[in-house]
Amino acid sequence: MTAAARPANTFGGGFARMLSRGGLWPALPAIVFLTVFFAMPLAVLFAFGFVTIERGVVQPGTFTFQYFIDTLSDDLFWKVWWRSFWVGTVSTVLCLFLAYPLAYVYTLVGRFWQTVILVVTISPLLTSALVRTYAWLVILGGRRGVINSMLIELDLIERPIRFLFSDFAVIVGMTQIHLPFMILPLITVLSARDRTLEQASLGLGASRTETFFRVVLPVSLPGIVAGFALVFAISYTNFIIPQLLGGGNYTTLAVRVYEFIVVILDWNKGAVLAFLLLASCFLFVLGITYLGNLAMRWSEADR
Amino acid sequence: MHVQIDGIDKWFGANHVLRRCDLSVEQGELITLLGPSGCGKTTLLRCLAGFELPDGGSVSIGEDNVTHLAPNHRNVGFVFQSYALFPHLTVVENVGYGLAVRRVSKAKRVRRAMETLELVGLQQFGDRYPARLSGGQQQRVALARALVLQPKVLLLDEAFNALDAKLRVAMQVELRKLVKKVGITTICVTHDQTEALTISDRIAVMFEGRIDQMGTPSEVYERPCTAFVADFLGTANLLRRRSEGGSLEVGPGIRISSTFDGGVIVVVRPEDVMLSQPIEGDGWGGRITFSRLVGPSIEFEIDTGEDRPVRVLSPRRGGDRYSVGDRVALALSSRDACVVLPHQEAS
Repeated sequence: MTAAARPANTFGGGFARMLSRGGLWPALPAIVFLTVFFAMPLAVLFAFGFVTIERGVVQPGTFTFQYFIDTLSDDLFWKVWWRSFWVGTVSTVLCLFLAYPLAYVYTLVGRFWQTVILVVTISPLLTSALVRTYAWLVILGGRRGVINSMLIELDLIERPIRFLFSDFAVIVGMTQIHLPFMILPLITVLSARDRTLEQASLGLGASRTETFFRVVLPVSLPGIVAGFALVFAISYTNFIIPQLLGGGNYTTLAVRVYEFIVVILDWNKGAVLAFLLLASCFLFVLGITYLGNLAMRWSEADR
Repeated sequence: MHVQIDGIDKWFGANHVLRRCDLSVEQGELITLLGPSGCGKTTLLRCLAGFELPDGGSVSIGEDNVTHLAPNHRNVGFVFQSYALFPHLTVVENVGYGLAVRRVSKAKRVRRAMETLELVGLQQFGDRYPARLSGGQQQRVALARALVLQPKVLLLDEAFNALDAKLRVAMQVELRKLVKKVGITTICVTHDQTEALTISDRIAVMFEGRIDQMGTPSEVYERPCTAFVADFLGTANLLRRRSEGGSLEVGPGIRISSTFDGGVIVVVRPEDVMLSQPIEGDGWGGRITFSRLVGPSIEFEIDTGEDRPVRVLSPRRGGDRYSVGDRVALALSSRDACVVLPHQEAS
């Protein structure tokens, strides 16, 4: 090919070639943006875990693992971590059990009800999670909370039940607020499933229940894994819900990060905790997808 | 097992898909439901399997009336067009699925699955997942999965569609051999007339929700009873003629007998018309307007002065004497023509 046969080396020609050659070029704007506004600040934050800071100034020439060692050898850290993990896991499992039936029903009903389900699922996302958390304060609150005042009105209880400021309140709030993130991937996978598989199963003598457990459920595993990883990641790292619904003495890893960096202004410890929170979250998500892939060996030939 | 369908009706909304269909299939017979897309053949098959419930009429398999029985209680083998293999199960698990549902022990399940896989020649692929099989192999797994339960009837819905042409022919022959070896009553659905002619004991030609004709492949091909059947199977010249007093004239000097009077259609297969040099006088004939080589034969179109040309298929040897523009005479043996009523009047 001669040079003359190539498109003229104008901006337009060069740009078109850049796009058509593929590779990473089309992703460049996003990469630049994420590097400048996400990766670099994060790197700076993590770096704060390894240097000494005095009165807001990084002391040059100081490099230490001391903050990591201190944190990891602190019993309180492990207690708080366990609570983050436990609350995140319970609320994710609850989300799965609540979302799956709804997503399954979505694929059985007509167009009208599908729209209703979608609107009901998505509309909470239009309000901020903070607002929805406050709503739970109102619902679960003390004597004047919605539930308690109703129960008292009905003479079922005499004194208000303490819902707020407990694991229960945090899990309820988290489950409700993160439910759409479980429903949507499940709806996607279940809607796209091949219905003839179910007919084949019936034709081979399986009942509807058996068909569900032997065919529908395993085939929807990709959606379960995606939803589980997503909801776990956002539940495990959420700090608004545990802070508001858990109350002042309730703390999780994410809440502690917030306290150290914003309230106590101990950036060293805050940075170490942020790093540990993010790294462990990353490992958990990797673990979930790894287990998912183990269970989905059958789909490897598709890729 | 004997299959009996009596007066089945099926509506999809305002769409009358099956119109009082009757079908009777003998034990061990291989029947093909043949017809264009939308003729109701798949719906009829799905009524047999129980995936659709008919709005009227009855379905019996053996001695049992199964009209309203759910598919999981019929013991009917169904091979889907897409095969519908379970992607998350290996070949052995797929074949053993029906046995697992019937609580057969694992060892017995695997043994019977392997026996059936051997029957279709796939015993060495037992551990594979369906996604790693070729189309032909997937089809054989689907077949094995249906056969392992020793169903009363085997139903195949366009089962050869997804295969490429060469493999399709091989699989058709293989299916016929297999089904005959097992001795199972089999009903296939297809829109491919060659497939129907190759594999079936009898063919049921369907059109607009009705079975137009049922007969052996040669009966249906040689003695079509409607213009639609004649046209759908192979190629046919459909000549509009008037029949009077029990006979009609196909062309000058060619009279055949007819059981109908009035406007009829004479069905003449292109290969049954003979070409010759025109002789003096006015016999049936015309001018060649088109010719093309079709493998071992030559196809001619001859303008006889009617609105549509007559198509003639001659062996290459002998046929190559004629070329476009030549005048030729046409000859026809009276037993090779068949008289049917025009479509509008056929009930």
